[in-house]
Amino acid sequence: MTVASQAATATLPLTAAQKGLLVVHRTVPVPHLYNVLAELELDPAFAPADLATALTDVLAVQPALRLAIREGADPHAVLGDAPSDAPLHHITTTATEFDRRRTELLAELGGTAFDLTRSPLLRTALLRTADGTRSTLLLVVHHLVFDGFSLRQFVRDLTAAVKGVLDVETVRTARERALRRELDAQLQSAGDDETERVAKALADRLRATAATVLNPRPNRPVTTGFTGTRREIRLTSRQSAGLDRLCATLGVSPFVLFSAAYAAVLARHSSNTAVVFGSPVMARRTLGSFDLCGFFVNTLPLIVDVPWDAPFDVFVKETVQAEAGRARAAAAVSFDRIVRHVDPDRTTNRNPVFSCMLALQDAAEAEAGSVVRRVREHGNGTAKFDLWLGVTPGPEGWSLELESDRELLPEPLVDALAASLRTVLDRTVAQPGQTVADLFVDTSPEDSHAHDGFRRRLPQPDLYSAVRAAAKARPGQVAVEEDDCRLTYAELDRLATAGAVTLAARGVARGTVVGLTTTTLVDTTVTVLAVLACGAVFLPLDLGLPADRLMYMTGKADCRLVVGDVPVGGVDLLTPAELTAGPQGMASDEPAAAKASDGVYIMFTSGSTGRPKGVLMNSGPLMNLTEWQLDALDMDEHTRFLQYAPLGFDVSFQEILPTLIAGGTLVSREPADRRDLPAVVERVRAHRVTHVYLPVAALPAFVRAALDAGDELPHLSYVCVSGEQLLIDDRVRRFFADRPHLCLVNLYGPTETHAVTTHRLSIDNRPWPSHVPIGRPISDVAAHVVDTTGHLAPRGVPGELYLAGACPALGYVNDPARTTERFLPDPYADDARARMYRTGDQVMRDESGVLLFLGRDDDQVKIRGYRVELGELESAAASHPDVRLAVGVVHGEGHERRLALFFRPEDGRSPDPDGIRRHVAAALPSYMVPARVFPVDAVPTTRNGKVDRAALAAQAQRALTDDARSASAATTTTDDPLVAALQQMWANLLGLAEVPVDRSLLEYGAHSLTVMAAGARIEEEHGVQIPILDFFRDPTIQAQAAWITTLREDA
Amino acid sequence: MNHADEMADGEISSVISRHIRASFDDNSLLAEVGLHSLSVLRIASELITDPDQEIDPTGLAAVHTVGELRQWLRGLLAPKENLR
Repeated sequence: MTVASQAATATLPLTAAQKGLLVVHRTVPVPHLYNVLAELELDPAFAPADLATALTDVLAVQPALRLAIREGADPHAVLGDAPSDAPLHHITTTATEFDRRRTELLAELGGTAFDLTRSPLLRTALLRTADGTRSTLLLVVHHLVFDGFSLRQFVRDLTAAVKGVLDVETVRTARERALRRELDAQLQSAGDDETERVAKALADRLRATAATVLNPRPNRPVTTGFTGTRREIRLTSRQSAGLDRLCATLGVSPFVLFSAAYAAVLARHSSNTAVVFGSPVMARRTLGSFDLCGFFVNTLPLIVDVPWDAPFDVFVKETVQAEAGRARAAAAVSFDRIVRHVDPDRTTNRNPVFSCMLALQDAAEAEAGSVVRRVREHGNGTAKFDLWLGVTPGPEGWSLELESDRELLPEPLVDALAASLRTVLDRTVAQPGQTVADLFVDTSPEDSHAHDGFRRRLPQPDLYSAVRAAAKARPGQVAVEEDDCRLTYAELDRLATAGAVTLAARGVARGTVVGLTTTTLVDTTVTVLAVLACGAVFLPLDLGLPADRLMYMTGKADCRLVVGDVPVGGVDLLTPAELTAGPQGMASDEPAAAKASDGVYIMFTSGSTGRPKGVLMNSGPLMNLTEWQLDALDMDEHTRFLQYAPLGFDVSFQEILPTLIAGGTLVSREPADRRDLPAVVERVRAHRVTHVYLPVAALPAFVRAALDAGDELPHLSYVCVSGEQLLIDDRVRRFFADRPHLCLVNLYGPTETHAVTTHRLSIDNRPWPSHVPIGRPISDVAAHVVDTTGHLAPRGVPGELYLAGACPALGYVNDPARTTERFLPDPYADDARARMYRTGDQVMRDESGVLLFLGRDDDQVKIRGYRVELGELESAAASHPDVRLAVGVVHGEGHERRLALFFRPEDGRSPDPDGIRRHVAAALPSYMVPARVFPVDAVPTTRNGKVDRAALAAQAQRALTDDARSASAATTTTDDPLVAALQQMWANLLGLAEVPVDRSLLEYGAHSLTVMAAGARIEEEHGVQIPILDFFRDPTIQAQAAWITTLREDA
Repeated sequence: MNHADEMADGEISSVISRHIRASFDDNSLLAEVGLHSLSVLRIASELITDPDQEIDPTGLAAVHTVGELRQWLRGLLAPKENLR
């Protein structure tokens, strides 16, 4: 049949929505992204020939299905002639092959792109069984000419055509007119002032709302291939009826109810309290348009604040209903107009305004007696959004479908989202008045207790007896190795027992705190064991700390005796020689075994209130850690562990005790300086070290030093790191790739629990991610991730980490208030006495259950691996009489991370920032001293009245950048060109405008890594190597110039 | 209220009644009586035969109760010159 058309090749305008869609279509890498795929199950008795005729009639009466698109300077549509035959492809198959062929055809139709310049933008295939038992019409249309509502009209027209009641000629003329009229109305409304005002208001709200990002893992891909997967969540008729009843009770539409549930789920899974998702809103304006197929929707954002503590029904009625109304009222606003006003980041190929979508699908139900028995829409293996929720009413109830991006949301995370959605809908019906947070449930109890499986049980009850057992087993084996001293296990045991006798004579008993200022590894090891033999507690005291701080530490810990060469405050001193000079015959009695609850050491960490906190760690967690480590790090009598960490760092425990318990050898780092990584590498090589444990910040320098030395490090097996987020670059990757015998182990754990989670990187699990996970808990440790709803978080959902099981320390020494605040009863344990430590660290489990570190939820920061409470820095600054208010911030990334301090002076005072800096430096460890200090008139605050640290950090970063920019014009204060060149180099390295030539560079932010970089540049430019230690001995530019001159002369 | 208005009101009431099965009054929420936006549009097209008749989505979004629906339909039925 040929329908003579008056409309042949008529030109029609495109709506703003169509133009916007065209732009996206051209920018995404998937040309079939906007294929709308549907299936109409047909009465099999129906003759295929009649269907072809009916389809031709539908094309005649639906002008949109005859449109072709003309792009170019003035994009428009061209209305084509009605075809004499509809593009219908017939396939006949057997009953057994039917479903397979159907799936194949859906994939083929859905995956084949249209040539937009050729109408119709529709393809159909009729699949039938030869025996006439099944028949289905598969249909694909480009979205540019077809929206969700169009399907209903398509089915209606098809049904009418089959029944022979479609007056094609009359209807065709009327519909073409209706289309023109609708397009006119759309264009007119799109340009009016009210639409512009609504668009602007929406954009303002969007800019003020954080993006809703599901699976907010580090290094989440910015662009994707748009591959998607769909799954159905079928609700029972009972569940559906419950939801319908709830809608009626609350007086809201199903769209509002599903929006509320979706918003709550998105808020939980993105860890936000305000979420943004899009929803298609029908933009048809004329009554005649409701008979048309076409693309008459605008996708509008819904911005929903999710109040966790509000009753769900109130949230639905007050918040979501109002927002849904706002979206509907904004139906005339096209998406591109919102984008123009929001001006979002366009570096991603995703939707720039929202990444989640909710579509309440129209029920395209088949009419009774119709040839069409059932209508279904299908996904085509793509995902336009990170997550799309389609909700469709059906005769048996609500059907929910989730379409998700395969790259951005791995399958287990979609499982979790689906589970949350199901739970919320179920619980909403059961108890609509409960709080939004309580609609969710704990979802990961198994994950909390899953561990990495390593453990080697020790037969001994405590650390000391385990060391003694090793000593008895191999008395002649070297336990501690220094350059000029090798101590066998027999000697170590003898000295330690002698020390224990001396300590006991000085009144040291179970629980007594003994300070340590020992300076050699032998003295330290002997003293630690002597203290443990007494059942006492050792307290490392770093003599580099300010005297006031050391006094505070000994006072707080009730420490009345110090073993070492240097006294601390008024505390009694026992030299190492005096310690081991005691009567040696009296140590034959085995000391009573330590109980799990007996203290072992006290380590002080930065405290937010201005004073450090002393963590009292007990035997139970340390025995558990040791049993894990012996197995996980393959430790035995052949182990040679480098003792690198300062004793005041809990890492030192992991170096010393497990090595001794394994019967291995502890290798002293000295005389290599801790910051001199080339010397450390040389020591590792020369002493055939098997295990090293470095701060994360030192790993790049260690790797570089080993590469520079061309060292294969054949004896080394394990490189452990901890302290802060491990980021791996290509150099580190290559280093380990070239040394497949090396295993890199990333450990995580606050001082309050010791190392508790680990992630191993070895040859077996390449490629290594740049943001390395913190991994899985060690044996007997539980890691609870508690999300914003207060429940155990599903995988892919951020939350705060609580550590339980055999890991929490006893608490903060002599500080019950702070102990109660952070060490809490473990509600997830069977034992009512179980405790957990609240870390304040934000983490999430990835799809495989591995923990990823995301950051802190408070003011604790890490500077080159050191834990710093900004509050402690602020208190120190505020103790200056001229400072009214002080705010510490951290800015920069990775190794460039620095502390800055902002202060508001007392009225009428204007103290010198450098003076404030010196005041702080006198009270705090050097790593806590800010690189820059800025006076401010007022401290900026956020909308909810909190100090806006982000704004201050940005200000500090800007100051650095400005300095760097002006540095090129900076004058030098020297006539010596060598000094001037060094000054310029340091200014660039430190990001400062000017660096004095006679002041310590350390005061200006230099640290071991910048020193390494400077060393490399000096070697490049001046051909001489300055030993790194010499830098630190006199870290000034003048000194470096003098060395360069001397070295050149020597050469 | 003139005669034409009365006629229109009668028509509006009868169409609304056809679409709502439960008992209702002007204060009933549309969601309560099972009317969603599509059924509202169906009511409108039953009352108005002119396919060119425009529906302003902003106005429609403000319709929550049966009374408001009645008022909105009355606006649509008013002679065109009053609308422009």
